[in-house]
Amino acid sequence: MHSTFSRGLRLIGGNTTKVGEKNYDMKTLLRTVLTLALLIPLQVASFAWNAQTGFRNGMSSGGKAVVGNDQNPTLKEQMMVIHEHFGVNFIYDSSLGLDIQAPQRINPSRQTLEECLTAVFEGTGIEWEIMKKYVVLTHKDKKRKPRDYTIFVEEQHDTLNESIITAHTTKELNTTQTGFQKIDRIAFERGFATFSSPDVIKTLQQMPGVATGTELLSGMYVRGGDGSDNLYLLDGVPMYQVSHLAGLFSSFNTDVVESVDFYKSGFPARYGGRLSSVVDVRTREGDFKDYHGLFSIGLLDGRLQFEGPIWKDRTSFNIGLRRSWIDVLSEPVCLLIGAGENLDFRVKYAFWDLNANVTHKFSTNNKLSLNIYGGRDAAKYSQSNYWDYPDYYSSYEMDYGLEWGNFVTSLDWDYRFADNHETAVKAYFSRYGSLFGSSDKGQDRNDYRNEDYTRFSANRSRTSDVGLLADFSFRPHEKHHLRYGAHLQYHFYNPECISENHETVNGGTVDDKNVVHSAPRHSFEPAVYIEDEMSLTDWFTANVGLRYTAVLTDGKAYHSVQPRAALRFDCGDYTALKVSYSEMMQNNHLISSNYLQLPTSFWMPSTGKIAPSHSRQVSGGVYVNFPHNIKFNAEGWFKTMDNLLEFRGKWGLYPPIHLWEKSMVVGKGRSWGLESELSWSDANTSITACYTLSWSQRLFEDFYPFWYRDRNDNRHKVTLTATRRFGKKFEMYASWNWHSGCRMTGESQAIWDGTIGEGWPDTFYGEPNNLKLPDYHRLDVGFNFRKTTKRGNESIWNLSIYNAYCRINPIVAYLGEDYNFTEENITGFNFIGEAFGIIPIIPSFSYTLKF
Amino acid sequence: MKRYTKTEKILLIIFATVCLTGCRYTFDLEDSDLKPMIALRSCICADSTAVIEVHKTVPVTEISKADTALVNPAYSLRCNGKEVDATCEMIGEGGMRISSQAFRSGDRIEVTFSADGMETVSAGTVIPDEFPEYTLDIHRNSQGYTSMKIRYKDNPDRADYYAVRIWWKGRRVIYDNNGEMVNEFPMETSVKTYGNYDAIQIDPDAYSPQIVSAPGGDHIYFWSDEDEADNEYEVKFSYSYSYDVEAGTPEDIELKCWFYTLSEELYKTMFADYDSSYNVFAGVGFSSPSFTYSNIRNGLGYFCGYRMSETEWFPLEEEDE
Repeated sequence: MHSTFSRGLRLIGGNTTKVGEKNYDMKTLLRTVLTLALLIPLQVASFAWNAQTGFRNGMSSGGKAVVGNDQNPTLKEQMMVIHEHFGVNFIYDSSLGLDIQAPQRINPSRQTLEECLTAVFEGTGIEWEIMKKYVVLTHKDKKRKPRDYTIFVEEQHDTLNESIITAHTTKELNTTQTGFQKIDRIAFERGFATFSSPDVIKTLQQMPGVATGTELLSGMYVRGGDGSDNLYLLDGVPMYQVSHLAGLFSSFNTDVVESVDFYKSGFPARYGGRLSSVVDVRTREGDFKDYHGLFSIGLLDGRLQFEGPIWKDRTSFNIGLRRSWIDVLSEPVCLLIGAGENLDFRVKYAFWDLNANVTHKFSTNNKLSLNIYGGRDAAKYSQSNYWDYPDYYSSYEMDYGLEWGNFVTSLDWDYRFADNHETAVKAYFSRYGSLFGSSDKGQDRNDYRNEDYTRFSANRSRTSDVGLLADFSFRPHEKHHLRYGAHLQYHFYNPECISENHETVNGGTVDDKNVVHSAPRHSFEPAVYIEDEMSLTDWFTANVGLRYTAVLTDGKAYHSVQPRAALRFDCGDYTALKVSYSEMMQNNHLISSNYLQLPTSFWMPSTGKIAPSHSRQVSGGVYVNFPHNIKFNAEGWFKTMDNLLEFRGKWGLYPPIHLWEKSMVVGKGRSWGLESELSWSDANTSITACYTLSWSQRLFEDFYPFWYRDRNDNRHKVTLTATRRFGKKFEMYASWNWHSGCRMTGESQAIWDGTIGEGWPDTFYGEPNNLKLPDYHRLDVGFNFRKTTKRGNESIWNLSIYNAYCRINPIVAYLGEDYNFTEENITGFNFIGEAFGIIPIIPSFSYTLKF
Repeated sequence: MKRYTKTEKILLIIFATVCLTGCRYTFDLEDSDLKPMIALRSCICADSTAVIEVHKTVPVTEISKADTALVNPAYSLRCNGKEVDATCEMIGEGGMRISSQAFRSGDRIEVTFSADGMETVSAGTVIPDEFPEYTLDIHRNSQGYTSMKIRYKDNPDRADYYAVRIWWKGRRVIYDNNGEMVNEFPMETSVKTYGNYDAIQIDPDAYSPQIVSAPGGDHIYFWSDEDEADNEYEVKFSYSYSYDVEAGTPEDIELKCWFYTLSEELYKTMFADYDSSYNVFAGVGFSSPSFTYSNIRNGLGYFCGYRMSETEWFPLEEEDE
């Protein structure tokens, strides 16, 4: 269920706990205050639902507890009264039934806190314990405390009346799914960021089980995947391409990102369409109360984010804008080089993206949102020159350009039918396109020729989706949370549209216009799903679902029934065992002639000859919370993939579009491994160590008739991360990444008798991906310096150092020869590996001002 | 000293900048865990003596200390499940050549080879049927372009793989600027996609055939039946003029064709060879490993079969306008 209701919980309660209040002036527009709030209806198995019910249960109506007229109030209502009177906050497991009637009404003005609690909970089976400003509620017959959870206060508009909080079940122990991690926007603000600009994909690349491929590119090869099998969702809308500047930046602007749900296994049935992972990025609604935002400028890009109410408490907007400014420097440099000459040339590269959200609340049960994302990368080279002589004049101007980007828009309607039933309906349009164009025009004036000419050609490639998505969330019983829905997608593929125009005037006119569309395709992909999040006992929860997808393409219909199941067994309060099984299907295939992730690649559907890809994955693990905030989890998996595609044939940057089906060969993949994570944290420090042991293999019988290692078969991967906050103004981050080298194919064997000077060895490739590149490792560090300006705004200086000890990791590698020359002969002949890397230490900074 | 244009200077600066900021270094290939293997190479022609060459390979990391002797070799050659007599002789430094009887179309040939300290290798192939009955349709227009169509009836129930090799012979005549003949000489050579005298022009919209160089420099054009339309295979070729030798125009041309049917293993081996020649991303790790095909289990090389037939020389006459 993608309901945006679950994003936040608005609580009314006067006495929020404020930490560090002395550092903030009441007159500032924005205050960031860490608060633990009164009531956190945290449901272990299904937080989202719980947040929704909390939303409904009288906690957003003016801060007054609602007391029944004829009967005693409920426990929850009485708790609200206690909170208001004594200023304590309650912490409890939502499996406690708090909607029952209290045994008696309380009178806080005449009773002590202890007397009130006794009166409220006597005979209910609920035990209470006062811990400073908190009251912890537990089952009487079970001596267990509520589960671990995290509370973040996002913004506080008026500390006297209201605050908005969001709670996250971030810990693996509390979720049913295996391979799931949730990243909130706070994580993106912690110190390090590549080029001082926080990045979603770069953050995910550090996760265990994720291989990164070529350095700096936004490659994400999850558990043996091929990089094109990750489902990127921006507010529930699929995106085909998620990187700027060859992958240095991802398309997700963290200024507007609310959270990222990352699934590597145990996929809930509501997700489908890709094999290996789901990256569900949710953006933030605008503030319904106040206007605020941020401005940031970094080494390569600048960012602006602004949000606020259009109609207070009813309608809000949130806009995030990013633009690189490399071209601001490159263009003057080019002009300087060309100064004094007739030559005028310019090299420009820029990207921009825009996220916009407008949300209108018709009521607490009824909400409409419009989301828009537009992003573009543009590289351009232009040159002009002229020659002017008495009997001769010639000039020309030429331009070459390459553009690519996404446009995504959706209209979301969230409606709650009843306390236990709600829906989210989404209509969307998503387009990925690229354009390569060239034009030149000129004049020739001489004794033989007098003409003006223009030439233009362009190749446009587009992939578009139109979709309608309806999700329903229904809780028929406290132990069941049903989600069901339907998803209709219509895909349009237009991989090539060539436009050409040649025109010559004066010396005769030739007008040649030609527009060619090659291999246009379309496919229809309806899907329905149902899943049930079940809390069958205190120690067993399950998420079981089924997804059916049909693919109608090329006059053929493919059907796929994908069972999904994730089970969690609690072993005491601090240990959980999980196991999951999931099948996924992928209709869209990335057609690329190389592994460079260039915008010249395009997407095509399954056809009569090429069937959809399928994956099956079993995953299971143990998740333990040790004392002293030490957490450990280990998860293993085995995954198989069918109908994977690889390119072969006429090689070039552009795959042969009209022959793309014949250029692809079909194969299989499998991967297995073990991921583990050990972490410790306290209020100011967090240390995490991740280790992955994995195998990834391929079988493409046209290449090699036996299983061989995948190019991202990185046997070991280690990530060590530490963050430390020094007071309120300074924090630092360090991360060390190491993994076994990627693999490439080279001539690894030779038939040769070793006699120098007797010809060249007859070499063989051996099996694919037979050579291992040097291990990859680098250290990143980052520092945040926070300050409050005279006007009360928060400013942040970020200093980030990518690759701090300047390890040159290989971008390309090849085989070379090593000789020892003597006067008579060549001795000591051998082959050696040669690697070439270009990414040195890269310090960067950014300045961010929140207002 | 060459004077560079501004554009060239800019490109040089960009290139130099990348090179200077980049770093090239060597790395140890030992991590790749390379071991000596048995390489087995055989391309069995139907109705001809079968020859299998066997070598012990050397990992490229140990090439200077090569140990290529096959110790205690043992082999087994079977045809349709029955052991076949074969003779063996030593070649080179430690290599072996196994020869046996001729095999016929439809024979399933399997080989197993072992030696001390090496993994036992095995492979199999099927000798394909002969090329289907065909007709040749050859046209040459007044501009010198020739198109050749091969029509035949393909068996739709199975995957078939075909190839053709074409030679021409004739006179080359060189004229001066006044149109008078200054020289002539006879030629007999393979029709190639590139070379000093000839050029095949493959229809850019047709994926097949792929071209691979055969030993001796001949070009072989090969394709699979899944790429065919109406069982008709077409290759267009013309004669180009070489600026190097001023070869002149060809006259009194005769053609000869060799038609092949290939085993699946040979087709894939040739395709891998083709990919290896034309893949600009190969060798640096940016492409799929499409050039690595080998059907030798636990080893290297190829073990495949084919059948060949050839035409007589036939004249190529110009088409009427």
